[in-house]
Formats: sequence, structure tokens, C-alpha cells
Amino acid sequence: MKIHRLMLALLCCVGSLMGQTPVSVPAMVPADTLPDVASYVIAATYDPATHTITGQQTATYVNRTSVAIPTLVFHLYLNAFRSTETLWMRESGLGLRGYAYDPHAPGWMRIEQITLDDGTPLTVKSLDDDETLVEAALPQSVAPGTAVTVRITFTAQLPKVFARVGWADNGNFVFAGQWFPKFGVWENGAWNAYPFHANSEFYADFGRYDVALTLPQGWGVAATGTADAAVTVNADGTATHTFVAEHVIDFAWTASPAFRELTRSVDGVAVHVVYYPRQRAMARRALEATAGALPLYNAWFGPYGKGHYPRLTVVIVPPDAGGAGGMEYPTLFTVGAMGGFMPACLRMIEVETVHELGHQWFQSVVATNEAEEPWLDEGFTDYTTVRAMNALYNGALFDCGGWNFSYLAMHRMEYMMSPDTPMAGAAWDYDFMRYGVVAYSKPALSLTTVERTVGETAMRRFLSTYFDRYAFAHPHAEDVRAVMTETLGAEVAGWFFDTLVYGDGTVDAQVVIQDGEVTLERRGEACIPTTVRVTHGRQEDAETIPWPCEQATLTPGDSPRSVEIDPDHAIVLDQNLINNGRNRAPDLATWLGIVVRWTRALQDFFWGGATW
Amino acid sequence: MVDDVLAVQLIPESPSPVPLRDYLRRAVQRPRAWALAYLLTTIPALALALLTGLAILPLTRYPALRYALEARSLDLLTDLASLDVQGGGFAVVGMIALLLVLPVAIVIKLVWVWLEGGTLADYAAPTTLSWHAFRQAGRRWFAVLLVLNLIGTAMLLVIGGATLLPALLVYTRFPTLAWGIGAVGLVVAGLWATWIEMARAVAVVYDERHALHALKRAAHTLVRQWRPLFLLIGGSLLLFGVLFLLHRWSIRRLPLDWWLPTLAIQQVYTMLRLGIRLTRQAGQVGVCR
Repeated sequence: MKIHRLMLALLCCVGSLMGQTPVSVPAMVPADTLPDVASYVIAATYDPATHTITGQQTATYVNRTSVAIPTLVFHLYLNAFRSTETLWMRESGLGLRGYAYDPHAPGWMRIEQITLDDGTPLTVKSLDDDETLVEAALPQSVAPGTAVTVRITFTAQLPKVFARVGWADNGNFVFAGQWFPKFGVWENGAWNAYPFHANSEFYADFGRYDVALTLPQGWGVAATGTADAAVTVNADGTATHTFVAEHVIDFAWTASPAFRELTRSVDGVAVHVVYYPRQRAMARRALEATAGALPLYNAWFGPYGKGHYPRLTVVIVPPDAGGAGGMEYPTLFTVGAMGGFMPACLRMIEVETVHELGHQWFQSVVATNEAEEPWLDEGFTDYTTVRAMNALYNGALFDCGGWNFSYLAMHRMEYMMSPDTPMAGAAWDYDFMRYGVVAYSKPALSLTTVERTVGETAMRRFLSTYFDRYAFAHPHAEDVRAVMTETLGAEVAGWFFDTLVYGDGTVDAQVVIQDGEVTLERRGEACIPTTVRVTHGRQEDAETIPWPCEQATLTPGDSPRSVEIDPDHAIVLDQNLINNGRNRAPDLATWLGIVVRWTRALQDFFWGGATW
Repeated sequence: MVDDVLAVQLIPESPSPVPLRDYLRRAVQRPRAWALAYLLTTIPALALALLTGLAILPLTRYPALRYALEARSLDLLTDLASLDVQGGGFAVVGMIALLLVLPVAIVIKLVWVWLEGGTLADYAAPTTLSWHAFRQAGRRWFAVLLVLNLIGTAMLLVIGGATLLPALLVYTRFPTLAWGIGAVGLVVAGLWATWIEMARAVAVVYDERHALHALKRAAHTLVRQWRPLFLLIGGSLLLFGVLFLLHRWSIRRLPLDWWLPTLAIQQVYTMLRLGIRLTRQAGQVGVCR
């Protein structure tokens, strides 16, 4: 059959590239070659009736460290969904983002067979109770500078969609993420791999994926990387789709017989949006948001995939698969987590799109550890989201009936729930609410504060340096600190890292007027220098002076009409921005303006609908 | 049977038909209803706005509040909620005034219904009604107008529910169908509101004090006289739309502290809007005649 021929060709190709086990790899990587570590050749068949994937994979791991690797560790993430008793289920409360687990439609994964490339059988043992992490002992360690190749036969059953992956629409939609045995990351002389926690996402090495997927004929398939234009039609009513993805940390795919597609070239990247026919409106909004944000990100950080990714796929998940929405994978992300009624003035689709697109830079290319340092990927991404929302939609998440509410303000509301929690910490250190604060809101607000303090030019220098230096690498918080110190100076890096990342510092500046004396106060440990605007007469004549953040009293006898600390609200981390400024006396003209408008609102209310 | 004072004044002075435009002019020529309706809502609204406004007077010490209101931004809601402001007695007065809003609204609605009887009778009469006859008319048709109002409101709620619920249910799968359902619901609600408004005019013009009979007769009138009614309602809608856009355009350009120009524009808008409504009602009376 054609699928077997294709698979053999792929295996031969990789075999010739990787050699026998272990093989030596060049010690020095040429400048134009990216140092791939974990590469896979997978041939898999999906059965929509049983929601199972049967696959054969040849996986190669290159030891680019100076320490020999004695064992191999694989993630079998789907086992987190095999019962209600797993660690993931206990931590999550049997669901994610409001989508509940269906115990009658579980997910699991099993390694049927594992051998070295030369046929030597290996045995695997579980490293956790749920078998989300397994270890295979090697007969011979993988020496530094060499590689090991293993062949694995596996079976995976996808759950009904509730947490990123699974099937929906009575089996006519499938989204497969974390669907194959995946290497951990060998670093610092040990495997960096953890059992699957509810808050945690993923961490993996870069590599090449050659994937052949066999599904029923007529199904549309989208996946990480680029597709071979030719689809092989098999005699048994199935069709095989092949994909190649280079220099990526993961491979995900989705399929449905109902899929439609919108395409557009944006900054030289082929953007494909796949969607159900009834979701065309949502698909168009996601495409517009992608087309708007992608050039911005290219300009702010560096080119998409550093120029290595020719294609980007956006998957609009069907309404009953909201649990699969709002998730990022290399060169592919999903939209539709919020589903339901979504008027144009409510920009949930747009914010979800520009956020997931931002992950293409922070995590897919700058591949930080989502489990140990979630703020580095979600936080940086949400900061990019804030920037994109500001640039594309004037910051507004909600802009209905003439009133607006910004995405940044939404983060401030969340941040207020736990402002003193340090950002540094592993995903499982926090409950769901505090995870939202430390991984998303606090970093987004902190980085916005940095941006507004140092200015746009300096901030872009920091961001582009960070992206350029750590593209296709695994930086940690201290690497970010080094770049920040280099580009923005030690003072900024000092208050950012010491007070906000590792410390529990908060900030609340306020003006206090008592007995005619005006005092500038700072509550909280975070000291972020800013300015003070003092108005004596007209607003236009206001004087702006620097404020190093220490408590100060204005000169006795000076009785300004108005005093405002940080009048432009640069320090969005401030726990209360309203008390940053005070007028000496109530502003009667403003009050009357409010009363007059309130009067008409009451007139309308009293009349009801009787006055048109 | 019509009361004596009313009977004399409602009898047409001549058997020849009065042109519709003469009825329309009566809204301006007989400004009592216009003035009463305006004052009925404006005085309590102003009083309650001033009293409730006292609670927020201390907040005007914070410049950020003004910026947020001028930008129509809800970003500082959390900050506002956590602000430690000592409102003192002002806050108590403001709270009490806020609690009074709903009862005052109910009283005003009842007075409005009473006023509508006099207003419609005034427009129907060949010459303007005396104050005594105006009061009598208000009393005479109060019950039927109230019942018609209640039927109208209840039915609007039913139409609203019957539209919104299916529209929301099918929105995710068939958004176009949902918008279609919404549009149909809006048209049905508009027709129903027109029918109810016409029934109120019919009740007074034909001294019909049975709500269902008034509705039946109004249906006949709507069918027979659909052209002038269409022009009347379409015209008033169009005028109202233009006025609304003009008002919104001008108000949004005024800084928050320019309260006097704001007050002037808003109240002129309110009076004109009321005038459009009363002119339409006078026209409806004319169509019935």
C-alpha cells in the first residue's frame, strides 16, 4: 500500500541521516543550521469510530550536552485523562476553563513496543502513578555529541474534547495534541520532565517532524508545518496526508470532513484559517486579527519563526469543542475557547487570536519551560497581546454602546486578586486563580510598566535582543534578566526582577491632602521612579517634576489646585490609579456635568419607551 | 356616556372633515400636554439626580475619575470600588435618593397614563379643552389606558423573550438565522407597539372603555388607514433618528465640565423628542377621526 511505501521511504531517509544507535553528531553546528535535538518520523492512523490513533514512530534524540544520557524519558500526556483519579484531574477539579471531563469518553496512551533502531527491545517503567511519564533504560548511555534512535509502536485514545485535545461533533472533529510519546528535555545532566499537572503546559526540544496521517477519505486535515500537496488515496477508503515541520518543539493536527479554509499571504507567510462552514464570521475575524498582528510582531520581535516557518494555520474549533480552543502549537493555534454569542464590539475572538499568535514567538521559538517558569511564556505572550490590542483596537476588549473596557484593565482586575505573589514559581505551585495572576496578568502589567517607564524604542531593543538571542533555545529567567540589564540598565532590571519576579513587592502611590499639606506617599515595597504633575492655575500650565518614589511633602505654603503622581498611568501595576491624584477641592463643574447627564438618564428611565 | 363638560367639547364643531395636518398642528397649538409631560419627568429627575449626585461629590476630588468619564472608559471600576472615600452625610442622602428612583418612576408612569387621557381628548376636541375637562378626560380613560399599557408591556416582554431565546440558542450554529429571528422580532414588536398606541387613541376618540374592543377597532383602523399611519410613524421615526444622532454627536464633543451647554442641548433634545411623540399622537387621533 502507498502508506507503507511512504513510511518506509521516510524511515530510510531518517535512518540514513541519523545512522545507527548511538551515532555521532557534529560538535560544532554550522551557523546556518539550527541545532535540532528531538526529531520524529511518525506514521499514524486515526479511527473516528473509536477515536483511537495507532502509530509507529522513529524518534531520535541528540545529546548536545556534555553529560551522557543513561535513560530515555517520554511524556504520555493523554494518560492524565484516563480516569477521574489522576493527578491532573485532582488538581483541575475534572475540567479546564469551564469545560468538564466526560468519564465515559476518556483519553489514554500506551506504548505497545519500543526498541532501539537496531531492534534491541527496551522496557519502560512508569515514573508516576498515572503513567504520564515513562522511562526506558538504555543498554548503553548516549555519549555527548551522539544520538539515539528508538522505534515505538503506540496506541492512543483521544478523549471527548474538554482540555485542548480530543474529538467533538459526534466524532466528525478531532484535535490531536500531545498524541504521541514525546521526549523530555535532557539538560543539566538530568531529564527535565514532570508528571502532567493541571496548570502546566509543555516543554520540549526542537526537532524535525515527518508525519504521515491516515484518515477517512474526504476529511480535511491541518497540522504543524507544511503539507505535501499530494494526498495518497488508499484502497480501504482512507487517505494519507503527509506533513513536514522543521525546527519545531511539537506537532499537532486537526481533521474534519466539514472543514473549510480561508487563506491569505501576510508578510510572506501563508496564513490558513480552517473552520466549520457555520463559523465563517469567526474565521474572518480571526484572519483579520492575524493579518493585523503578524506584521506587528515581525517588526517588534523578529520575523515569524526567524524565517524558517513558511506557513501558519489557525484552527477555529467547532462550538462543541470550545475546550480545544485558545491553545498554541508551533505554526498552528486554535481559536474558539469562548464560543457562543460574540458581537463585534466584544473582541474576545481578536484577543484570543493575537494572544495565541504571540506564542509563535514566545514559547514556540523562544522555548521557555512552561512548567517551571510559566510567566516567561504566558506572561511575555500576554504582554505582546496587550501591545497588539493597543495597536489594533485602541486597547479595547469591549467597546459597546460608546463605553470601553481595555484588555489591560481586565488584567488589572485579575492582578488585584493576588498582587504580592512573586512571578517566579512552577505552574503547580499555584491554584488556578493565582496561576492566572502570576503567569498572565502580573507579567503583562509588569512588562507594560517597564515599557511605559523606559519608552518604546528601548523596550523594542530589549524585546528584539531577547528574541534574537534565544530563538530556538531554552532561556530561563536569569537569561532574561541579563538581556534586560544589557538593554535597559541595571536599575530597571533591579526593580523588575528583585521586586516583582522574585519578590512580593506591590505599589500604590497616592496623594494625601491633610490640613492643607500635600504629601506624596508610596505604599508597598516596589519603588518605580515616575513623575508628578502639579497644577496651580490652568491645566495647560501644569508643572511636571520627577518623583523618585520616596514619601515627600510639597513645600509648605504651596497650595496647588491639583497634584497627580504618574499622571499618564505608566505604572499600571499601581493597585489604585484613582488615588494617584487629588484636587484640593471638589471639582464642582465636573460634578454638575455628571449630574446633568444623570438627569437625562433618569428622564429616559421615567419615560421608558414612551418618548420616541 | 361622555361627561357633560367633555361631551360639549368633544363634539365636532362642523360635520366637514378636518385635514390631518390640522391635527398635527394641535400638538404645538395646544402646548399644555407638552409642558406637563416635560415637567412631570424633568422635575423629579433633576431633584433625584442632584440628591444622588451628592454621594459622588467627594469623588470629584480625584482627577482620574474625570478622565475616565470623558474617555467613556470603564477601566478604573476596580480602583473606584476599592477607593476609601469618606462621603459622610452626602453618601446617605445619595443612597436614599437612589432607592427612591424606582418608586418615583412607577408614580410618574401612572401620572403619565392619566395625562395621556387628557392629551388625546384635547387633540380630539375641536377647541382646546378646559383644565376641568382635561382632568375629567384623564380620569375617564385612566383605567382602559392603564390596561392597554399593561397588555402592551406584557406582550412586548413575550415577544422579546420569544425572539431572544431562540436567537441566542441558534446563534453559535446559524448566526444569520439568529439575526433574522432578531429582525423579525423587532418588526413584530414595532407593529405591536403601533397597534397598542393606536388602541389608546381609539379608546379616547370613540369613548371605548373596553380594552379588547379598543384593540379590535384599532386593528381595523390600522388596516384601513395604513398609508397615513405608515407616513406618520415612519416620519416620526426618521425625525427621531436624526435628532438622536445630532444629539449624540454634539454631546460627545462637550467636555464633562461644560455642564451648562450640555444641559441646554440635552433638554432641547428631550423637549423636541417629546414634541415628535405628541405630534404623532395628535396625528393618530386625526386618523381615527
